Amino acid sequence: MTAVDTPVEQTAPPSEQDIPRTARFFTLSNVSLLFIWAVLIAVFGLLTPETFLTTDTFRTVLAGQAITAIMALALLMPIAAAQFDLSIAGSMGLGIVLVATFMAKLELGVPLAIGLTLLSGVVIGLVNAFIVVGLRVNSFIATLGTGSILVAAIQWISGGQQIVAGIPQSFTDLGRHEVLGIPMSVVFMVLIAVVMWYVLELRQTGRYLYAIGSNTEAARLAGVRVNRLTTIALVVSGLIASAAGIVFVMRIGSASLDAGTPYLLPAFAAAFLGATQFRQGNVNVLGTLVAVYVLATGVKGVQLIGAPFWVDDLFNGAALIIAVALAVRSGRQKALV
Amino acid sequence: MKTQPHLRRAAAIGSVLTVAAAALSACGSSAESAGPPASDEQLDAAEAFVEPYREAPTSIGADTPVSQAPSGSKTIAFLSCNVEVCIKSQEAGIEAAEAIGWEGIAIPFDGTPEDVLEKVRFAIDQGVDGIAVNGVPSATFSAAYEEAEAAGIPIVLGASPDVAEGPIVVVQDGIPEFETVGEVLGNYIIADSEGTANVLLFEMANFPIGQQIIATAAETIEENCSSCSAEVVTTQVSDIGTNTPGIVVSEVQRAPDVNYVAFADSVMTSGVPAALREAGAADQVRIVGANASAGSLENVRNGTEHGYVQFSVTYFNWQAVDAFVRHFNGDPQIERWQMPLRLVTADTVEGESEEDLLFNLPTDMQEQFLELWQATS
Amino acid sequence: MAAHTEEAPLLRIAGLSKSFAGTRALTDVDLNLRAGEILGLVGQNGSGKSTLIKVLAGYHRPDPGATAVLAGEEFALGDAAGAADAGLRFVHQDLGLVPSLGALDNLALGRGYRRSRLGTISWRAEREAAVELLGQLGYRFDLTRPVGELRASERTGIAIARAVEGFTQGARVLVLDEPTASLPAAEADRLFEVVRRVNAAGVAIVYVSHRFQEIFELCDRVTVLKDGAHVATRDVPDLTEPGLVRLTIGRDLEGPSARHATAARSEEHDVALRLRGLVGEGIEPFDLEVARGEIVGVAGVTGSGRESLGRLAFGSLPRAGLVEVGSTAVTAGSPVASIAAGMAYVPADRLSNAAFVDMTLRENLTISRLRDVYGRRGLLRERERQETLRWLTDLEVKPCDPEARLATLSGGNQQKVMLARALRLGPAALVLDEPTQGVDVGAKRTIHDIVRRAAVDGAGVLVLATESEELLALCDRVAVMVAGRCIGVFATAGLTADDLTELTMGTAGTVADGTSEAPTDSVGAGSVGAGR
Repeated sequence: MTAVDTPVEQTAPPSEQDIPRTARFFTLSNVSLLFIWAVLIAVFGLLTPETFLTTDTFRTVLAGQAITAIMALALLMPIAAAQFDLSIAGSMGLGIVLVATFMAKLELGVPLAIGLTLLSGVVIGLVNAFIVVGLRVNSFIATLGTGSILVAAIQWISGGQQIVAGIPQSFTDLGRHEVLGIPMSVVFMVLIAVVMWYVLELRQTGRYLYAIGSNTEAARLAGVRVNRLTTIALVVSGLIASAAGIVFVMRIGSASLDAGTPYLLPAFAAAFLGATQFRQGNVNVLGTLVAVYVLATGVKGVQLIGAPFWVDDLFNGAALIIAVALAVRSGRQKALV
Repeated sequence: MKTQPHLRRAAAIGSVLTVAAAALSACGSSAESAGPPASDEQLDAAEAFVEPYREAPTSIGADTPVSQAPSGSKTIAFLSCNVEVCIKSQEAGIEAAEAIGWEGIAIPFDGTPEDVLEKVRFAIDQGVDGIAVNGVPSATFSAAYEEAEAAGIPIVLGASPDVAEGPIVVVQDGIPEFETVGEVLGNYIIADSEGTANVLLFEMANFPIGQQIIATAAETIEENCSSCSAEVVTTQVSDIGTNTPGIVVSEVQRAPDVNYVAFADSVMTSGVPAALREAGAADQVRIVGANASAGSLENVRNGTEHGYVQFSVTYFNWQAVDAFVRHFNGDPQIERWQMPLRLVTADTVEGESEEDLLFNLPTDMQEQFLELWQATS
Repeated sequence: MAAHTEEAPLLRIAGLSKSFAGTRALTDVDLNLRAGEILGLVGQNGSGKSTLIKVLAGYHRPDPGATAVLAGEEFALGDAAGAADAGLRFVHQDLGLVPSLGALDNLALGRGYRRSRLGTISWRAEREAAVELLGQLGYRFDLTRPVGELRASERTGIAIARAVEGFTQGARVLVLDEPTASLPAAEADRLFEVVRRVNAAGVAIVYVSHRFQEIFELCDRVTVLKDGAHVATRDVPDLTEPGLVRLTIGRDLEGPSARHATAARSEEHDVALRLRGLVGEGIEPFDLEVARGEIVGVAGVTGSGRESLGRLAFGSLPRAGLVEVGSTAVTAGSPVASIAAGMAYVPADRLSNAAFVDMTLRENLTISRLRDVYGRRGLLRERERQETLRWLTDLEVKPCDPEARLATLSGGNQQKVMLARALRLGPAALVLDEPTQGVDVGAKRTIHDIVRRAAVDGAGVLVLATESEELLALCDRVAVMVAGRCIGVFATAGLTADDLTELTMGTAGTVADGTSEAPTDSVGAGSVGAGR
C-alpha cells in the first residue's frame, strides 16, 4: 500500500462519499437561492398577503418572465462551453421581425413562417460559429459584432417600421391560449427548459460542453471534438433566441424593432446567478430558472409594497452580487469569464 | 467553515430584509380615496372640453402668411433620435424642405449635450443654413449655442418642454401645447368614465414632454372630478417592454379600484395588454394615453387599448421649416401655434387610414403649410 | 553553519496548526531556522509543505495559538505585509509572473521601476541591473519578450532573480518552493550556485523539494513533514537517502526490483507504436519503435525537443512524417484520430492540459470515451459510478469517491485519475508526458506500477521525462534527444542516472543514430561525477 493510510486521514471528518447524495445537494451555498426565495415569499406574504399570495400574482410572475427565461436558457450551452453569445438579443429581434414579416407581409402561413424564422436562428448560429471556430475570433467580440449587424438587418428588413397589422388571429390566439391556466409562453419556456435539461444533464453533448468550459485544451487532448461542439452550442443559442422572438410576437401581437435588447443583461444575470446553484459553479437549467423567478418574485414583492421605480434595479443588482459573493466565498464558483 | 453557513444565511436574509425595508420606507402615498360623486356640471364640462377633439382637426394652428415665398436653395439639418417616431419626424422635415426647393439632411443624435455639440459642429462643417431639432430641453443645446452663433446658423428648437434661451429661433415653447394634451387626456378620462375614474398615470423619468402631459392630466382629473382619483407612477425609459408591464400589473393589484391606466406615450404600453390579461385584470382597467403608435392604434381597433390623445410627430418639423422661411425673410415668428390634436378611440378609428389618424393632422396639413409659405407643390 | 546547536534560531515557528473546512492541514508544527543555514523541507504531497509555506507568506491565517519569532522579534503569521516587513522572501511554485510582460517589467513589479532624475523610468538602469542579475543565474534572453513565451526554466530564473534582488532590501530568509520542479539538470546546478551565493551573503534559506538528491547536495539540515505534522529535523550529514525516504513515507521503497515485471515482454518485436521521420516543433526527423509490452523512455533537457515529442506523436501539434499504431497509419493533426487508432496520451502540465479541476472524478475519468456510460436514453449513472469506482480502487486513488471534485485531490491522486482516463481506452500505444510531474514519492511508485502493468497487459508505452532516475526506474530502453535529434537509444540495464544526464547534455562521446545497444563503458565512465 502507499503511504496515504495515515492517522490524519482516519480521523478526518467523513469524506464526501459518506454524505448522502441528497444531503450533499442541499448544502446552503448550493441552494442559497431557494432559501432566499422562501424568505422573499414569507416576507412579502406577511407584508402584502392580500395581493402577493394570489394566483394572479403567481401567473403574472410566471408569464412575465417566460421570455427572459427562454433567453437565459439560450445562453446555457455557449456559457457551459466558455463561450459568450451576445448576439442573442439580435437573434431574438430578427426573429420578431421575420416571423411578423413572413406572416403579415408575405402571408406565408403560420407553420412556414415559424419554420423559416427558426432557420434564421440556425443561420445566425452558424455564422457565429464560423467566426469563433473558423476565424478564431474571441466569442465576446464576434457576437458583439454579429449582434450589431443583426440590429442593422432588423432595421433593413422592417424598413424601420414596427409591424402591427396582418398578424393572423390564429397565431396571436395561440399566445393567448392557456393550458390548465398556464399561459402558452410559459408552456413553451418549460418545453425548452426540459429539452435543454435533458441535453445538458443526460446527453454526452452536455458533458462534453461542460468539459470544454472547464478546460478547453484538456478537452481537446481527451479527444473531445471541441470545434464541432462549440458550433452546436452557438447554433442552439441562435435557435432558441429566435424562438424567443416568435413567442414574443405570439404574446404581444405585434413586432417592435428593439424588443430583444432589454432581455440581454437579465438573461446573462440569470445564467450566471443560476450557475451558483445546484451544479457547483456551472450554468444549469434548474439554477437558471430559479434565478429568473427568485429575482422576479423579489421585484414583484417590492412593486406590490409600492416602492419607487428604481427599487427594481436596486433589488436585481443587490441579489446578483449577494448570491454570487456567497458562492465565491464557499469556493464553488468558477471565476466567471 | 462549519459555522459559516449560519453566518452566510444570516447575511443573505439580512440583506434581503434591508432591501425590503428600503422599499417600505421609500414607499409613496397610495391613491386618494374618491370624494362625493361628480356633479352633472362637471361631467358636462369635461365632455364639452373633449367634444371638439373627437373630430379630425381642420387647421394647422396658425394663419399668418409669410411676407414672400421662399427662394434660393437652403440646406436644413434635422437632428433627431434614431427610433421609429424620430425617423418619421425627420423624414417629414426633409419632405417639407424639398417641397419648397430646399434640401434637408438627416443627422441622428442621442440627445445628450455632448452628442448635440458634436452633431451641431458636424452640421456646421457640412455648410448647412439651419439646424432643426424638436422635443429636447433647451439646456441640451447650451454648449452648442456659441458654435452655431459664431457660424451664423440659426437653430430651430421645436416642441421644447421648457422656455428656450440663447440665440435660438424658437418655434414653440411647448409647455402650453403639451398642457393642452394633458387637459384633453384628463377630461377624456373623466367623460369616458362618467365620473368614476380611478386613474394610475405612468410617466417616465427624463422624458419632460410626457411628464408635462401626465402632470396636467392628473391635475385636471383631481380638479374637475370630485369622485375621481389620480396617482402618478414614475418608470424608466429602460423599463419599456420589459419591466413596465410588470410594474403596471403590480400597481393595479395594489389598488384594486383602479379602472384606468394612462401613459405619457404609447411606446410605454408594449406588453402591457398581455400582462394585464395574464393577471386577469384586462377587464378591470382601460388603457389610455398620448401619442398613439401604429401598434397602439391596432390595439385600439381590437379593443385591448382604449383611447389616445393624438398629436402628429410629423407636424413639428413642418413648423420648423416655417420658422426658417420666416427667419430668412426677416418676418416675425408665429407667437402661438394651436397644435392640432385629435382623440383616437374605437369610435373614430373605423374607416380612416393609419396615416390620417396618426400623422396627417389635419389631413391637408402639408397643403396648409405650403399655402402659408405662398408656395405650391 | 550547522555547528551552533544551542544558539537561538533566526526564525522560530511554534505550535502552528491550520484547518480547512474541518480538515487539519497542519497540526502543531514547529520549525526552526538557524542563521546562515540552508534548511531542506520535504514531505509527500499533502504533507502540509505548501500550507506551511503559504501561512508563512501570509496567504493563509493559521489557527490561533501559533507563534513566530524572527531574530528575536515576534511577528504575526497570516499577514503578507508583516511577513515581507519581517524580511521573509518567497519564490512560489507558480512563480507569480505576468505572462504578457517581459522580464524587465516582471522584475520591476512589486518593487517599482528605477527612475531617472526626471522621474521617468530609467530603462537603461533597469536593463543593466536585469542583465547582471540574470547573468548570475546564467540566463541570457530577450528581456522584453513576454515571459509567457519563454521556457519554463527561464521563467523560474526570472522569479528567482526577482526574489534575490530583494536581498538588497533587508531580506533575511528566502523560501524556495520546489524551484527545480521544471528545471533541467544543468540549470538546476546553476540555481544551486545562486542559492549558495545568497546563503553566503548571510541569508538563511528554506528549500522545499521533492528531489532528495538536491537536499543532500544543498542543505545543512532537513525538516520532514508527514500528514501535516512535524516528523523530524536532522543534520543532513547524519542522514542517508534511504533514511530520508523512510522518514518521509514511513517505510522503505522497494527500488528498481519491481522492474522485473516488464522483463517478460514478448520476444517477437510486435510493434505497438512506430514513429518514422517525425518532424515538427523543435524536432528534426525522429524515428522510434515501441514494441507491445515495452516501455521506452525519451530523455532530453528542456529545449531538446523532448517536451514537444508527445504532442507531435499524439497529433495535438502539427507534424510531418509517419505515426503508426499497430500497423495503421494515424492521420496527422487530430487527437480524435489518434485515439480512434488506439493511442492514448497523458499530457504534461496536468492543470493546463488534462485536469478538469472543477468537475468530479467520475466526469474526469469517463470523458475519454463517453459512449461506454451513455445509453440510448442518456447517461447511465450507475454504470458510470461503478466503472469510476473500479478504476479509483484499482489505482488506489484517495479519496475513492466518484463524486469528489478533482481539485480536492493531491497532485499524485489527480495524476492517477489522468492515467486512468487514458488506460480505460485500452490503448495499444500509451504516450506519457512527464507522468510524475508534481507527484510525491509514494504516488510516484504507484504510478510506475500502473504504467508497468499497462505494458504487461500489452500496451507499448512511450515515457517522456526530465528526470533520469524516473526513466531508469521505469523503462526498458531510453532514447536520448539533444537539440531536436535523437542521438541514440540505450538499454537502461547498467545505465546510471549520471550517465543519462550526461548524455542529455550532449557532452558524451559520439554515438551513432538509431543505435539500440547499450552505451559503451567509456560513455558511462566519462560522465561520472559531471552531473554534480
